[in-house]
Amino acid sequence: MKKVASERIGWTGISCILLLCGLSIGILVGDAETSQVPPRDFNPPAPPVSRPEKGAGKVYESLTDRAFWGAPPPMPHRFTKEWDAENCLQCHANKNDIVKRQQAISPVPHAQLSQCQQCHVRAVDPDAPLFTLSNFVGLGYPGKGSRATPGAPPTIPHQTFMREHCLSCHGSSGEQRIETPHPYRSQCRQCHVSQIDREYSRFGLR
Amino acid sequence: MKIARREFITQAALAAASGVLLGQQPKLIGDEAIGLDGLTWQKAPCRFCGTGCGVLVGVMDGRVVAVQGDLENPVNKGLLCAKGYHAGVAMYGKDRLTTPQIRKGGTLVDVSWDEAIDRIAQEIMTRPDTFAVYGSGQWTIPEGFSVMKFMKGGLGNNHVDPNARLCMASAVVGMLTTYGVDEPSGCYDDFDVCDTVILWGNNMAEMHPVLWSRIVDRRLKGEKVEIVDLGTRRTRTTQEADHYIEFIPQGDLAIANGICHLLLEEGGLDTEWVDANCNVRQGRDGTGAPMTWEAYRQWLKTYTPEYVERVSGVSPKKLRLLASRFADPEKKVLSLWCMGMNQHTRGTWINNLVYNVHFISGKFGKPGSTAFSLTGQPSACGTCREVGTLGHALPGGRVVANETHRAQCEDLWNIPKGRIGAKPGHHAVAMFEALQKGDLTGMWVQVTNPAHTMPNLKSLTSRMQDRFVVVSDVYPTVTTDLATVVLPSAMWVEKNGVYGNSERRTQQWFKMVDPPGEARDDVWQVIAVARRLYELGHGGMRNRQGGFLFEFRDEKGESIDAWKWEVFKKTNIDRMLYEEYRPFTQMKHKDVAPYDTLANARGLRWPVVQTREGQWKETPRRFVAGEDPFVAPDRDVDFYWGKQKDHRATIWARPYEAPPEVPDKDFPFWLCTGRVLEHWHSGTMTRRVPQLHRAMPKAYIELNPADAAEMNIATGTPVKVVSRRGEMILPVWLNGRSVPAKGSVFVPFFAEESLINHLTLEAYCPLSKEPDYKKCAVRIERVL
Ligand code: SF4
Repeated sequence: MKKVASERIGWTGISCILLLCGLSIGILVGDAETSQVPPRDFNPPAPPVSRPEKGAGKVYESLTDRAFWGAPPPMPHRFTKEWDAENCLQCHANKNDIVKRQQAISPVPHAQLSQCQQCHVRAVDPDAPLFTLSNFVGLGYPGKGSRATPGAPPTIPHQTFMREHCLSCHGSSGEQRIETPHPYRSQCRQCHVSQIDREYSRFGLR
Repeated sequence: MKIARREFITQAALAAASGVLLGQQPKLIGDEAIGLDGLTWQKAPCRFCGTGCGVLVGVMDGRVVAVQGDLENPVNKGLLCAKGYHAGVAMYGKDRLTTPQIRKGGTLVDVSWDEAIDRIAQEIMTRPDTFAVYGSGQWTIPEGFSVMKFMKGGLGNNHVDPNARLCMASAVVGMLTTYGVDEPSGCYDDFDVCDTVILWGNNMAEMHPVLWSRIVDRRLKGEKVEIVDLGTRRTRTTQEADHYIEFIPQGDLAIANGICHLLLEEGGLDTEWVDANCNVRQGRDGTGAPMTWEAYRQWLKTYTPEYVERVSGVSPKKLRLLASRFADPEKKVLSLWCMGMNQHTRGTWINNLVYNVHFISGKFGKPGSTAFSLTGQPSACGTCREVGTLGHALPGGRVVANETHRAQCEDLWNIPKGRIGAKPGHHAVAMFEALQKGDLTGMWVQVTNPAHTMPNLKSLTSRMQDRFVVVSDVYPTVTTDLATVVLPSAMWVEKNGVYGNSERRTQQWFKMVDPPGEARDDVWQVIAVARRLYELGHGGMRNRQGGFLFEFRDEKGESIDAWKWEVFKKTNIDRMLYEEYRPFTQMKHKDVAPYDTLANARGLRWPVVQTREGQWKETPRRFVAGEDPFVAPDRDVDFYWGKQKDHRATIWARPYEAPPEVPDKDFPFWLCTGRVLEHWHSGTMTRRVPQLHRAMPKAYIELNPADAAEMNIATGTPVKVVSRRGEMILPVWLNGRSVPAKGSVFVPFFAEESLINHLTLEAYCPLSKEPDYKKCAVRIERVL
């Protein structure tokens, strides 16, 4: 009970995929005369992630390097471009197909949003010097859900807003505290019900 | 019931086992962790930009441990940007100011609150007329209001101006001259239904990220929304735009007139709307004689597409593209702008001109069709503009120059007649000029960092250390470095507060945690200094009955000694100040909701009026029949504060005028400065968030790749940027987040080790007095 099980998959598989992604794309410069910004597929973006550098393993571990549980994780790798939000989906797509979904790397858990870099800032160098030290102590992981009886499906111990796609965290890739033993089942919330009301003490139940 | 409780405890125990995370390094601390049953979530508006997103602040054991987007807040519906999520982290930088300090023999020395307050009061006693307060659009409403009462109602000294002067003044004067009263007519709901968004020099993707998502993410739902980006720099915003129209700085004046010209000459004029709702006036100066429609049409003839191209660089084809969106009667068109138009030596004019375009095409006051001024700071609207913390103003849209207005305020403040001075105080730039010259001898700076953010720093802030400067802040800044007295302040949810955002939404929050060390609320600091002055016998600190200026009473009528910290801490003085302020808002139909109503709402958009059933009802769109309760029954649109008292707005014939400094042989580049997504203003808070600082650790200069190639400069090359006022060395970033137009460069202003404001120009709009941080001339020199 003292420690939440933290199972991780080997990163080798993912690193291999990423190694293939080391290409860069040219800057998108619109046609000056017509002022038309090239349509999305004008210059099909190459996978946007740069080659993992030395110590990449460490960089990828640093997915947890966020201020508190619930803060948007910083992006632990470089982008080829600073402004290629849609390129993120090359690897992190939340696809409808269950197999593709499982193949995606940390698939986006909130498909209704498109401006990735608005929240996920880059953290290419998690050991870079700080401006000043911080005394902030962040909220920890929410822990495990409860079971009605031994063997019953556990409840979801956290809010599900922005976390609609469970495999993002609980699938075989991504930063999972708990990895589902049955990733082939796609309708998670058929069995695992939400239990979030305790997060709202002032405004009561939602 | 019992079972539920046991279940809950089990949950809490489980949760406790998961531990807490440290700021930078995740660390499980097992059983010592606090159980989640100790976690509470309370609502607040975000600390940072004028969007005013709702957040829920997670507090555990007296500390903020998490922040999440508030699903129930209609502004952001649960989403935040990187700054908002980290607003709580920003409170816990290791070097928080926790003790009052006084400079003695050149160094700041820790002192008691009593000594600091006494020192300030003694100084004001000696030189009350040459003391000024320089405040902020990050002041809460009660903070701004208490300073106004202290200065204008107490000292009888009108030298109060905020940093919002550098930010929103042009938008304010734009609205005052156009329809006679400040604040936009439209609201964020218009963002959800418009067909075309026109961004007038506005990088929304980085500056108002959540509102940007609100527009762009409509596309993911299959809705069509066209985005036209008018700019001088390709940004993240441009990436989502359907059209990018690049123009020469200041060319916006000609573009807006050029659109009006096309609407009149080639179709698109909404005669019915204009006849019902507008008058036309000559616009070189602020007063302007009336103009006939025909004279206006003739006047516009200068702005042919060819002329517009010559001045702004925008081709006739692109100008027609813009005009066609306004001419299309089916299209709902939304114009948005922020600093691009406001920080402009003709900021008031360009604001007027954009309204012209919307009036002439009838695209105003309809769902999805409006001209909407975005605000930079979280309460520039709520505090600076609505409370009126400006040299010439009084709360409630009153002005000091008007005797009746002064009398109204004196009545509401219960102070003797004639207390308020008739002479307007200095505006921001003039205030710092006066301090520089010694005409002002003292200044109290609150919630802002002028030695970092004023333009042309050397000429405006280099003598601050020679004056009596008090700085209330939460971290050491370049301004506290120059201060005589430094007061440690409470930040954000360490105090009660009320903010007002861009869409007239007033949002309240309660104090959630104690400020660190001896840090105390700015409101308390003001009341404490006022009280000390009262004790020293300053007549201005007395009300009509001879009692203390800040007299508060509890339900039983007992006096509350708010100047005593122990009393202040336990009392919601904010609520009392806010309720004292509320009658002022009713003088210009800006009625804000009662405090207790706000406490139970996710903000309400004023005017908020009570229905017959006793409900408090907000107003999404002002001046529009069916939405705004103050619209006359016979009108569809009613500009009830129209300057000509004819219930109409004014179409101003404002000409193109060249900017005061343009690139030449010696200084061939335009310099534009601005913010970045990660950092708030001078970076004092956001740089103390490890995640944000590491994402954007230092300043840089963006060049157009073609210019860089000519000079053989690559990314990372250090270059020297030189203007007529100063110079600095910065690394080059090419094809990075943004690409400035050929012949222009961009430098962010957040970094205190690279103060780009040594180079910027202090020239300002003669009407709004807002300086132009977006254009001056520089040259680039290689240093390696
Ligand atoms: S968009 Fe503005 S108000 Fe919203 S979270 Fe970001 S900084 Fe805060």
